[in-house]
Amino acid sequence: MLTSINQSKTYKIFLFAITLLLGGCKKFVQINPPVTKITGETVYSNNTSAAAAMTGIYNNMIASPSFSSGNNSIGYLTGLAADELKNYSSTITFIQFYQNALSSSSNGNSNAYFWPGLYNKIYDANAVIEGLNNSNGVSDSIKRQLIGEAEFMRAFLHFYAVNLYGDVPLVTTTDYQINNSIHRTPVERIYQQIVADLRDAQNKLTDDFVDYSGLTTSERTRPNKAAATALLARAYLYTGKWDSAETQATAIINNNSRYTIVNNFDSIFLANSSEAIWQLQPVTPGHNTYDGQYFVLTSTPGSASLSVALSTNLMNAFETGDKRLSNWVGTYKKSGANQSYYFPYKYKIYKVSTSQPVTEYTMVLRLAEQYLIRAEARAQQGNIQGSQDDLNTIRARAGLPNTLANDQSTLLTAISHERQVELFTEWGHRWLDLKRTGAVNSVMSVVTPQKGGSSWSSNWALLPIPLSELTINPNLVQNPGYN
Amino acid sequence: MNLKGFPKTLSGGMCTPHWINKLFLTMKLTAFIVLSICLQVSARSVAQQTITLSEHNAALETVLQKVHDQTGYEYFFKAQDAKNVRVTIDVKNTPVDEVLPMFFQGKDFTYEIVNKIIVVKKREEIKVAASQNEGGRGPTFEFEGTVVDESGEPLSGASIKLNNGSVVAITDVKGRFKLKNINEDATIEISYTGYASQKVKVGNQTSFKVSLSLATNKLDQVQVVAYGTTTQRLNTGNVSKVTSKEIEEQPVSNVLAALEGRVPGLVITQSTGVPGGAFTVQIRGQNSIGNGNDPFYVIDGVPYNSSLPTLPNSYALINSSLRGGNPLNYINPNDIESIEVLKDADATSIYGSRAANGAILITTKKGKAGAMKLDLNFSSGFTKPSRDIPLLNTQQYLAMRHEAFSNDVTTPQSYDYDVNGVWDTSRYTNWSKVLTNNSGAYTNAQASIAGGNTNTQYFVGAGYNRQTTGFPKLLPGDGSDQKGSVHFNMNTMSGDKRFKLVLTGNYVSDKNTAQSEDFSNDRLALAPDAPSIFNKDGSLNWAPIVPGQGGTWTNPYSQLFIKYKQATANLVGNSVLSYALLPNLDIKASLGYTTTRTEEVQTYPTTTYDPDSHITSGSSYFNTINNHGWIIEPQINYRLKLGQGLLGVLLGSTFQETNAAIQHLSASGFISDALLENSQAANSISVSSNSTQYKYDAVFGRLNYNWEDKYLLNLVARRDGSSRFGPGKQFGNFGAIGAAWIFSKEKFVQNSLPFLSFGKLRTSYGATGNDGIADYQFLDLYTSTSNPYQGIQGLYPINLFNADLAWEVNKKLEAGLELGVLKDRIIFQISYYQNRSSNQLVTTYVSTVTGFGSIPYNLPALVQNSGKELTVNTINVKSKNFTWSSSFNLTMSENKLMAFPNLANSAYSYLKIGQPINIVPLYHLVGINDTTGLYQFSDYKGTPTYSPNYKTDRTGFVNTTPKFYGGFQNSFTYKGFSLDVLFQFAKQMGKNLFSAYPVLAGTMANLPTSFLDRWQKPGDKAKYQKFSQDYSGAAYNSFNYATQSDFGYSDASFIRLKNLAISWQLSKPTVKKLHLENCRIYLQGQNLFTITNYNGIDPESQGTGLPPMRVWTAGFQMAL
Repeated sequence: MLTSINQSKTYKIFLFAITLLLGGCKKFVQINPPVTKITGETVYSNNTSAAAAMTGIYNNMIASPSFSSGNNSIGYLTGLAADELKNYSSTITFIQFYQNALSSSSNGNSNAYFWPGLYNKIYDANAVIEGLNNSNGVSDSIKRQLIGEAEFMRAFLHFYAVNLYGDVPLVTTTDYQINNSIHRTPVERIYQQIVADLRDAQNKLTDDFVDYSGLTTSERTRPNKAAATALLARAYLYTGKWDSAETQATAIINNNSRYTIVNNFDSIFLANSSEAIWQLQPVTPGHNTYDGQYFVLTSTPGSASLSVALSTNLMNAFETGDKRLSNWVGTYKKSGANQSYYFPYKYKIYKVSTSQPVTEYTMVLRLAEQYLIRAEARAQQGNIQGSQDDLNTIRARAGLPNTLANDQSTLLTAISHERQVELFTEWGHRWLDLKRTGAVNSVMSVVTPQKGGSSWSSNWALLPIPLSELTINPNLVQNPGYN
Repeated sequence: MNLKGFPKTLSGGMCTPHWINKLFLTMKLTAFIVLSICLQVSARSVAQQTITLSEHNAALETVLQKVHDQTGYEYFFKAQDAKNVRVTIDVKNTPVDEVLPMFFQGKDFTYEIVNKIIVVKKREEIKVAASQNEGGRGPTFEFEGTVVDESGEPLSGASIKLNNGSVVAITDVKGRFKLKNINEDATIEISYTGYASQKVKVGNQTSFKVSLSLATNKLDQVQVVAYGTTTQRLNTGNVSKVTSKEIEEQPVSNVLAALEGRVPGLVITQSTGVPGGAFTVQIRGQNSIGNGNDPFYVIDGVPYNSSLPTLPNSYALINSSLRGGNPLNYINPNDIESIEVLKDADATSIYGSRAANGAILITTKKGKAGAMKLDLNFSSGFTKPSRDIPLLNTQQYLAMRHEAFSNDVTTPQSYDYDVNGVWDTSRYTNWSKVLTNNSGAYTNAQASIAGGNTNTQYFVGAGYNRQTTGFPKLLPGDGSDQKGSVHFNMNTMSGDKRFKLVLTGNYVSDKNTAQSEDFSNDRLALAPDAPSIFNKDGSLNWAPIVPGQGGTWTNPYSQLFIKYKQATANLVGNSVLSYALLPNLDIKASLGYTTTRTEEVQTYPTTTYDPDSHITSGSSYFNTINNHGWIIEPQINYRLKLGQGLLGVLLGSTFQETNAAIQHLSASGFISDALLENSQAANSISVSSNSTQYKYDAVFGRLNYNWEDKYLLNLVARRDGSSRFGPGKQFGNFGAIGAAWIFSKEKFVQNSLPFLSFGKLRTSYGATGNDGIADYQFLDLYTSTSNPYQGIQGLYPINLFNADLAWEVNKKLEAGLELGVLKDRIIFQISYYQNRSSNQLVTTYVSTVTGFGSIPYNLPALVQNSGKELTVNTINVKSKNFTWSSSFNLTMSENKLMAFPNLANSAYSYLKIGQPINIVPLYHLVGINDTTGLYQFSDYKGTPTYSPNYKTDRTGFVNTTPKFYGGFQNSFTYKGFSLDVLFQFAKQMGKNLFSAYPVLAGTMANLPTSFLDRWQKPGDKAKYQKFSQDYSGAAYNSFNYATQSDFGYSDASFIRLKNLAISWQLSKPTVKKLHLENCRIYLQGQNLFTITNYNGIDPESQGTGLPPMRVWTAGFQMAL
C-alpha cells in the first residue's frame, strides 16, 4: 500500500521539518520602539533630549487654548466666576462658570476643567525629576537646572490646584499605584511642599535667563531663580508669612538691572519685556497669545467664538484718569449701535498671519505683582510708609496720585483694589484674591444674583472635583455642596 | 491547558527580522513572476485541453485524430484492432480527461496517457499484469482506482473503505489508491470532504475511475476551518457558514452588513448609515471589560485588520460621520465565496491568541475547471434612512420656548434669536426633509470570468459599487462611497500533481467623498424657524442682525463647502505552495501579504465660514494611513491510517508582522481656496504621526483522529509569542481538545431511531491567549511636540506604561448536539457555550491624578459569557416545481462578572459580581414632582430627591447585553422564481433618544414631538419634566441626573425585515435563444421595515446619527 512507505524516511522528514518549523524565536517578537517615539530611558540619557522633556511641559502649556491662555484658561473662566467678565454666550460651560452653577455631574465639560491638565503636567514634572535622578548621561549643570525647573513647575501647578479645589492630592511621584488611590492632602501640607520645592529650585536655578542648553539668553521663557522667588513670595503671602513674603519680593525688586516697572503701556506685555519674570512663548503658527484671540473683540460678543466682555463691576472699579483704563481696556462698538463693549486689551494682537513674527508672549509672573505683594506684606507688618511706597509705584505708572490710605486697614483695602485693576483677567488673580482675603462671600452674594445665578453659597468658592475622579478613586471626597 | 513540557527550541537565532525581510522581498518578486508566467501558461493550456466533438459511429482512430487536432495529444494503438472500434460521442468544450473514458466505456479496450501520448490497449493487459504481480490470478486480485471530482481533478486524501468497514486506504496526490486481495463481491466506498460519498461494487473490474460530486446535503458541504477544511458532519468544533448566495442577495457595500441576523452567536451592529462608516462586531459577547473584543479576520489565510490605525486619542478617519470606519469596507462582498465564523475553542484555538474573540474566515471565489464562463451582474437602486422620528413644527416649537421662559420667569436674552424677534418666527423648515431624507443611490456591477482544466483553474472578477447618502450636496460627486475592485485566483499544479500552487489576490480601490458631517444631528437640533439657507442672491444666509456684524447661526449648508476625499487602496494577496513529499505527507507554505493605504484630505475653504468672522484663509487636514502586514506559515500535513481510523497530523508555525503608520497634517493659511489640497500652499503646517509594529510568532500542532466517521478527536497545542508584551512575558502556551461522537452510526441507534439520519454529540474545551491591546504599552514612551518652543521641539510622555503586561487567558467550553431527521431534511443544532476570560488585558481607567486617565493593565477579573445557540434548517417542501426551505437561528446569551478581587476599590466599582460587565450604573428616576414639575430620583433609602448622591444613590442599572437575538430566513422557489426573506430580531435594552440626544427641553434646540408629553401644571401626569431654558436652574440639574438615570434607557428590541430578494430565472429555452448560459432578473431590499417600540431613531444604531439605510435595488445577472 502507498501508505506503508519506509518508516525511517518519514521520521527523518519529520525531524527536519520540526527543526524548520520551530525556528520561531524570541528575537522575532522583540521590537524596537516605534520610529515616532522614544523611550524614557533614552530621553534622560543626554542633555538635549532631557532638556526637551522640560521644554515639552512649557510647550504643552501654551500650544492650545488651555489652562494658561485662551477661552478655557484660569483667567477667563475664573474671570467669569468672579466679577470681571460678562458672559454673552450660550455655551453651557461659560454659563455655569458665570452663574457659579458648577456641578460635578454636569453634562458640560466644566466638571473636568483644570483638574486633568494640572495633574498631567505634574506627572511630566515628576517624570523629569525621577528621570534625571536616575540618569548618568546628563551633565551635572544641566541636571541641576532641569530639576530646578521641574521643581518650580511642580510647585506652580500645585499652587493653582490648591487654590481652585482646596485640599488636593499632593503628587510627588509618577507611581500610578500610589496616585490612583491617593487621599486629599490638607492645604497647609501642600504649601509646605510648594515652599520646599521653590526653595530647592532657588538653589538650583541661576539668576540668568538660560535656554535649554544652559546658555544665557534674552528670552524670558524658562523659569529662573527669580521665577522661583516670585512664586515663593506669593506662596508666603497666601499663607500669611508676611516677613518671608517681603524678603522674597524684595530680592526681585532690588534686582533692578533685570526687572523694572515698564512705563510704556504698549510694551509691558511684549515678548521679553523687562517687567516679565517668566513668560510663555506662543508656539502655534498664526497665533500670538490666545488671550489676544479670545478677549479682543472684533465683533459683537456672542458671535464668532467671542463670548465675553468686561463687566460693569470692573469698569466701575477704575478711578478717573487711570491709564490702565485707557490702555488695557479696549472698546468695541458696532456701527449704528448704541451699546459699547469693553474688553481686556493687555494683549493687543488678535491673530497674526503665519509669516508675521510673534511679538507678545503670555505673561505668567511680572514685577508689578511683586510690588503689590510687598505692599501687602509690609502693611500686614505695620510698615505703613513702605507699603504706601510700593503701592504708589504701581499707581504712579497708572498716572494716579499717591494713595490716601494711611493705616493698615485702609491700606489693605487699597491694595486689594489696586490688585483688581492692575491684575485683571491675569491668571485668576481676582478670584484667588477674593477667596484669600475672605471677601468672596460678601462680594459674590451681590454679584452672583446679578449674573443671573441663584443666591451665593460659600461652598461655591471651591470648584467641584470631577465626578469621574470620585468614582475611580473612592479615597477622594467631594467638596461640600456638590453631590 | 498548560503545556509546560513544550520544547524550548524557540530561541534559535536563525531568524532575524533582516533575514525575514529579505526572504519576503524575494518571495514577493517570485510570486509576481510565477503569477505572470502561470497566467500565460494557463491561457494556452486551457485552449488545448478541452474538446468539442460530435461523432456518430465513427472509427476510434478518426476520433483520436480529431482529439489530436484539437489538443495536440498524440495517440498510439498498442492493440491494433482497437482502431476500428466504433465511437459515438457529443461533447462541447469538455476536458480531455473526461472525454477519453467515454470512448472506452463498455469496450474491451482502455487507454493510458504517457508523455501526452494516448496509448490504447486491451483491458486484459492490465488484468494480466496485475495478476502476474500477484503471482497468478486467483479468487482475489489487486484493485486500483482513481478518484476525481466533477471536473476530473484528482482528489487526494480521499478515504477508501471496504465492505462497510473501516478505512483501508487513502488516495495519493493523483487521486490513486491500490487495494490488495479484493474479490468480485467487494464494495468500495469512497468519501471525501465536501463531496457525496459513493459506493461501488467491484464486480469484474480491476480498476475504475470514480468521479465524486459535490455534496448537496448541508451536512456534507465544505466548511473552511483554520488550516484546512472539513464538513459540518465531521467537525468537532462550532463553525457557522454564510455562503456567497446569501451575501449576493443583499445590496450592501460592507460584507459585515450581510452577516447580520444570519449567524448564531454573532452580534453585528451598524453604528451609522453613512457608507464607509463603523460597525461593531462581537462573537459570543464581550469577553474583556476594556479592550480587544474584535474577532480575528482572515481573508484567504491572511490576517486582516479589524480596525484602522489611529493617532492616540482620535478616530481613524478625519471625517466625523465615518467615525473610525471599518477596514472590511475595503473588501468587495461579491468576491466572497463563503464566510465561516469560528466560535469555540476547538475551532479557534489553532489561531491562538489572535482568535481569542472568535474568528471570521473569509474565502474568496475560486476558479473551477470547465469551459470559460463569463458572468455579469448589474443592479441599481435607491436608499433612504430606514427610520425617522417626527419633530416639532414652528408653532409647537415656539410654544415650547415661550413656555420655558415663562416657567423660568424670565424673558428671551439677546442670543435667543429664535424667539427674540431676530429670526422670522413665521418660517417653518422641515429640516429632516431638507437635510437627511433625500434618497441616495446604490449601484453595483460585477463581472467575472472563470474556467480551467484539470491542472489549472482561474477566476478573474472585477466589480464596481457605489452608494450615496441622502444628505444635500453641492456637487454631484459629493457624498458617495465608490469601490472598484479586481479579484483573481489561480490554482495550478505540476504534471505529476505533486506540486501545487494557489494564488489569490483581492484589490479594492475605494473613494469616499462623504459629507464632513452627519446632518442627522443638525436636523434634530435646528430650530424650525431658523433662517433660510440661501439669500435671495443665492449666497449662504448667515442671518446677521446688522449686516457685516456677524451671523446668528451656523448655516448647515456651510458644512457642504468642507470637502472630504478619502482614497483607499487595499490589497490582500496570498499564495499557497504545497508539495507532496510522500504520498501521505505534504509540506506547505502559506504566504500572505496585505496592504491598505488610505489618503484623506478634508478642506475648509473660507466659504464655509461666516464672512463676518474675517477668516481670510482656508485650512486643510491631511491623513496618510499605511498599514501593511505579511504572514508566513510553513506547515506539514501528514495522514496516516491508524488502527480503525484516520489520523491527521498538522505541524506549523506562524511568522506575522503588521506595520501601521499614520501621518496627520494640519495646514492653514492657504493663499487661495483653490490650493487647499496642496499643503505646499499653506502658510503653516503642523504634523503629528504615529507608527506601530506588531510581531507575532507561534508554533502549533494539531492531531485529529477519525474512527470510522463515528468517533472524532481533535487536539491542538500551540506556543504564542507577541511583541505586545515586554521581555519575559512574551510567550504563552495554549491548547484545546475537541471530541465528537456520531451516534447515528451506531447500530443500536439506527435500529431504535430509524427516522434519525444524523446524530452527533460534540464537546470541546480549550484555552486561548489574548494580546488584544495596543502596541508598545509596556514601554515608557515620549513623543515630540508639534511646534518648537525656544527654537527646539519638546518631548512629553504619552501615557502610563506597564512593564508587567501579560497574556489574557480565555477558556472556552462547548457542548453541542446535532441532529438530522428525515434524511437530513431537518437539521437541528443546539450548542451550549461558556467562555471565561481571566487576567483581563484592559486599558483601565485610573484617576487623572496619576497624570493620565488610563493605564494598560491585567485586571484580576473573571468574566463569563455563556449562552445557547439553536439553529434549525428545514426543507419544508420539495417537489418538482416548488421548494420551500427555512433556516432559523436563535442565541440566548448571558454575560456575567464572576470574580473581581478588590472590586470596590477599582475604577470598576460600579460593576457587580454576578451581573454583566456592560451594566451602566444609573440613578433611579421615580417620576415628576407634582408641584415643581421636575424629575425626582430615589436615594438608596427610597426617598425621593432632586440631587441624588453619585456614590450611594446609583442604585439602578441597565444591562445592554441582548437577552436573545437571531434570524429567520425562508426561501421559496417555484419554477424559475425564487423568494428569500430574512427577518432579524433582538430582545435588548438600549440608550433611548432622551440620553442619546441630551438637550434640556426648552432651550434653543428642536425636539421630537413625543417630548410634548411634559408637565405643565400641578396634577399633570406627564412623561417629561417641565420645559426650561435655564442652564443654572433646578430644571437643568434634574435633567442632568435624568440623563444618567434609568430614564435614559428603554427597550430597544426589534424585528426587522433585513432582506428580501426576489428573482426570476429565465427558462432554459429562452436562455438558449438569447445565446446565454443563464439569465436572472431580481429585486432586492435591505432593512425594509422594523417593528419596534423603541423610543428613538433606530434600535440598532441607538444614536442620533444616520440609521442603517433602507435599500431597494433591481438588477439582472447573466452568464455567457
